[in-house]
Amino acid sequence: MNKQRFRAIAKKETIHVLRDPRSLAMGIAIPVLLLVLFGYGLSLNVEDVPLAVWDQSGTAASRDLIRDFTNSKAFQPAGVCHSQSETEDIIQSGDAMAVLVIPADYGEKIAEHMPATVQLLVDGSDSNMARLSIMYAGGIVKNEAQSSGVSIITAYNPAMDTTWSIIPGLIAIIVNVIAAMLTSLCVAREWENGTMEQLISTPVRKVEFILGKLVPYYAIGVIDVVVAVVMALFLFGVPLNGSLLALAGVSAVFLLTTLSVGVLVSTGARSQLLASQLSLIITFLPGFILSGFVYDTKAMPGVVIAITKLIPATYYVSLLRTIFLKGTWGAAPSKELMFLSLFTVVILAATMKKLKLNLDGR
Amino acid sequence: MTDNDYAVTLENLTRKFGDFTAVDDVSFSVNRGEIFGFLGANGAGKSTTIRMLCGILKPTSGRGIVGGVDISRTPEKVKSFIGYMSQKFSLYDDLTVEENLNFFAGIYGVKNRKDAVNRAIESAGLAGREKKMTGSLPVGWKQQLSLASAVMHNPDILFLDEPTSGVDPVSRRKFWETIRAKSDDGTTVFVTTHYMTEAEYCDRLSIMRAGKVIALGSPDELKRKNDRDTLEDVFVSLVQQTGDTR
Repeated sequence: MNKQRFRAIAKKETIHVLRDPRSLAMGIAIPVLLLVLFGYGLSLNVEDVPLAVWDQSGTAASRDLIRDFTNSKAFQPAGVCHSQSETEDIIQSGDAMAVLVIPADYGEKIAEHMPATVQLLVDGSDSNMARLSIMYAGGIVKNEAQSSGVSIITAYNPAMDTTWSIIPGLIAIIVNVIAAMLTSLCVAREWENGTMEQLISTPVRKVEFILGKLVPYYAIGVIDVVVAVVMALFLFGVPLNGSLLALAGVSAVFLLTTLSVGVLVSTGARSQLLASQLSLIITFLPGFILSGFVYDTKAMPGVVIAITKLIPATYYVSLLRTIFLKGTWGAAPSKELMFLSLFTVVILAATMKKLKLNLDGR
Repeated sequence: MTDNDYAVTLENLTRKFGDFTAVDDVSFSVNRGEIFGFLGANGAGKSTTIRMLCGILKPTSGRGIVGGVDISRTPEKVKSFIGYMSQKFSLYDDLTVEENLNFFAGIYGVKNRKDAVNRAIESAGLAGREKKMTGSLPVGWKQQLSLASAVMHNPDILFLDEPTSGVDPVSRRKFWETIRAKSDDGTTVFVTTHYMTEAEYCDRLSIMRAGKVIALGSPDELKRKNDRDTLEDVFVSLVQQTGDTR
């Protein structure tokens, strides 16, 4: 690789970006807009979930717990049940969207400082509402547990122990889509404008061409991540429990992954329109549905789980959540980083193979 | 005689696109330092030939030797000592004159880049327009800029594909002055054109029709051989003689 040629490509590509208000807007304004829209949209609609209660314990401890639920912004009281069938009926009728079931031995266990378990039945027909209700309930139960010195296990989504797990995942999804969209235009544009013919008559090599083109978009990606993290911390109040360095490192790797996907798409598609549509579909759909951002992947069939493991966004979503909320690197962060790095290498190798610096096949 | 005695040598060079043979078994040589004109109707195969010689299109069969290098075997080697101006304007419209030149100077690894760019601006007559956006330039200036970019690295061989189409006569004359000067400095110039006045400037000419070269020689030789007074008559008679223009 020749440094001078690499620099020439990088500089030229940077000028293109700076001169094109649309690509700047897409690169920076749209991620901010999406974060605000989805951040508020996805988190504010779970206030006042109607909650019914089946209190089999009937003790001071169980009433404390119920009060914590009904006093929270997330839930409002919607009735009392006295049997299993009543809990099912009240959810079926729609009068309640969740039922808190407190077992008969709850009060005793609390009194003896033993681990106690409560059950939350949730109307799963609105899966987002259900998911967030569970998250909120988990948070309340945990607070309760801390104050009484008792450990309580929440049966669902053990990792999603705060109301703000949505934002780190959202950052991952937005970066995933925007970064790929940005680079998806960069090779197709050269073909479409006819500038490729001049460029391929020069001694420029594939590796200089590809890496040089990545430079300005990488810079935009970094700005996106920084802006998104700042918004997460100060606008949405998401705590950053992990290290900033881990966040930066993981993001640095993932940016390269998703930018590479965009370049590959751009190399394959010779029109900008096709390239941008294609990159949107292949990053947004799997990123949104299969990454674990909206739907818990553990509940999916085996084949689908295998597919989710092949999607880079899956790892970034999980890494960001881990770093933001758990404050740890997770169980095997090096494995996740290794996958992202390997994936990037494969994508870049495929791009090198697909990219033809001649007119054959045109 | 070795390949090195000629700037460009074509041996049975052929390019097919599916069933269509764009360049059909073409053989000829271009001497070092000459201005070699390439004439032919639209679709005769001139651009395809030039693209193969520039290493950006693979020949289906036959050989092309440019500056002693086989274009099929090491096209990337050819690219370092040739300059190419494609038929369609293909510099960056959203870069300024200076930025375009800077870019190509960087790509070609030109030493003393600043001086080289300034010299290019000067010789292309673009002084005072350095900061102008390329897309806003008139066609004549664009062509001058294209040429300046293509010769940024002082190539041994210059391939120009209809460099003056759509350019006014004054700009065209200025353009040819630049080409002449390059040739005087020892650069081999391989140029396609539709203008017979331009063909007259060439040391030698080849006329192409339906993928084949049907005539080759200096402008005077061609006129004498075909018993015509002007190149235009030579061209028209040759092209009609051998049938339709495809």
